[in-house]
Order: sequence, then structure tokens, then C-alpha cells
Amino acid sequence: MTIREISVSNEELRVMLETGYILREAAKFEQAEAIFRGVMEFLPESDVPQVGLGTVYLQRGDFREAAEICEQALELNPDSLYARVHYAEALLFGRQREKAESELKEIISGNPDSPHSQTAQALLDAADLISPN
Amino acid sequence: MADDTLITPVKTETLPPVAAVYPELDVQQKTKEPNKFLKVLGGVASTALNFVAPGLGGILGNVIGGGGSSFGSYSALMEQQRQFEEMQRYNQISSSLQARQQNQMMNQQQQNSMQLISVQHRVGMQAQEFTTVSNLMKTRHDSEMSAVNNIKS
Repeated sequence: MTIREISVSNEELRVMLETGYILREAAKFEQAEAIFRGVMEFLPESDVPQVGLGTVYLQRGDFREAAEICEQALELNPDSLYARVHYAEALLFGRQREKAESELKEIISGNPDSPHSQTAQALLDAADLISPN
Repeated sequence: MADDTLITPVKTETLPPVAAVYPELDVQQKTKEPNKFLKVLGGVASTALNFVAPGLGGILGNVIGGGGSSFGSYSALMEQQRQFEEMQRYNQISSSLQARQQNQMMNQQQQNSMQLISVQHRVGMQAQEFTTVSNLMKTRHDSEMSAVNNIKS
């Protein structure tokens, strides 16, 4: 029996993803990573669990790995604002402020009403704290 | 003829001194003491006028107080001048001490104000940082929830 043969509803997947976020926030990075990698098996076409995994690396302080994972998520779904925002976040934390700010501004101008744009704006507001010049 | 009063003036006796006739008057003149009120008034006037005109205040005070005999006395004048100068020195020292104390107090107050402003600035900065980070966390959470709610298997 492969993992794809297991039937999981969207609701269950959502719960799993939320569990991953909770574990990440609790600094239980290994468990969070295991959850996101597990959900990636169920949702191989979705960028969401992959970006979730990227945020785990972001929270760990491995900004380069986080940026790479988010880039891979963007390859899966080039229109994913969620992936773009966290890719830019990884750049910002990784001291590539100029590139990050340019990406974030682009997200905001293209989709001003998206919740991801609000995150992008909050990241721009916090840029001085995250990556001071 | 010799008794003619018109030709021969009347022989008069030498009059006794006034003090012999009115001894009480003489005593009064010798031991005349100035009025107490005038003494006090003289003192006050002397001090007050010494501020305006050094030396002259003392003289006038003595006149008022009945010590008129010192008028014209050079040594008394010099003494008053000396006292006045001493008083001025005391005043100067007192003023400089007061000024120094005031300066110290002002410096202390200024330092306290600067410290308070610095603390207020730090508190303001921290509050702003807290708001920024809090806003970032909230929007990130909303963004993640939005992504999670849109998944399709």
C-alpha cells in the first residue's frame, strides 16, 4: 500500500497543515518538517505544504534553504503569491534586502487586496528590523 | 561829684559763671544722651544709606542718632567704609554660592530630563517594534490560513 492509496479528505489535510504550523511556532521543527513532508506526498501538485516546509527552515534560521524550497514551490505554481511572499521573506532575512523589497512591492502592486499582499506590506514595514542597512 | 552816676559809671561785680548759678543746666548739657528711638533710627538709616552711598550713610546715621561728634571724623569714616566693604564681600560670596547651587540644581534637572527623554524614546521605539512584529505575525497567519483554505487535492 502506497501513501497515495490512503484516502484523506481536504479537511484532514487542512488540519494536518495547521498542525504543522502550530509545531513550527512551538519550535518543534523536526515534527513540523515531518508533517509538511507528509502532506507534500498527499498534495504533490500543491505549493502550500512546500511553502510550509520552507517557513520551517526560515524559522530555523536557514534562509538559503528556505529560499530554495520556496523557489521550488514557485516552479510548481508560478502564480502562487503565498510562495512569492515567503521567497521574498527568505531573501529579506538572508540580507538580500533590495531584491526582497522589489519582489514584495511587485506582489502588492499586482494584488493589492490579497492577504498575501498584506503580509508583503508587513514585511516591508519590518524591513528595518529584519535587515537593517 | 564823684558820686555822680552820670560821670562815674556804676561799679559792677563780675558775674559768676552760668554753671555756678544753674548747675543742673550744666550737667544736662554735658551728659545729654540721644533719644533711644533716634539711636535705632540712626542705625537703620546708616545701614540703608551705606548701600546707596558708602560712608555717607554712617555719618547721617550718627547725626540722626545723636552722635554728631563723629561727623568729620576720618577714622570713623574709614571704619564704616571698611565695614561696608566687608558686608559687600559677604554679599558677593553669598551670591556666588547661591549661583553655584542654582547651577548645580539646573544641571541635575537637565540630566534628569535628558534621561527621561531617552527612556521615553526607548519605550516608544520598543512599542513601535512590538507593533510591527505583531502585525507581521498576524498577517502571516492570515496568509497561511488563506492558503490552507484554498488547497485542493
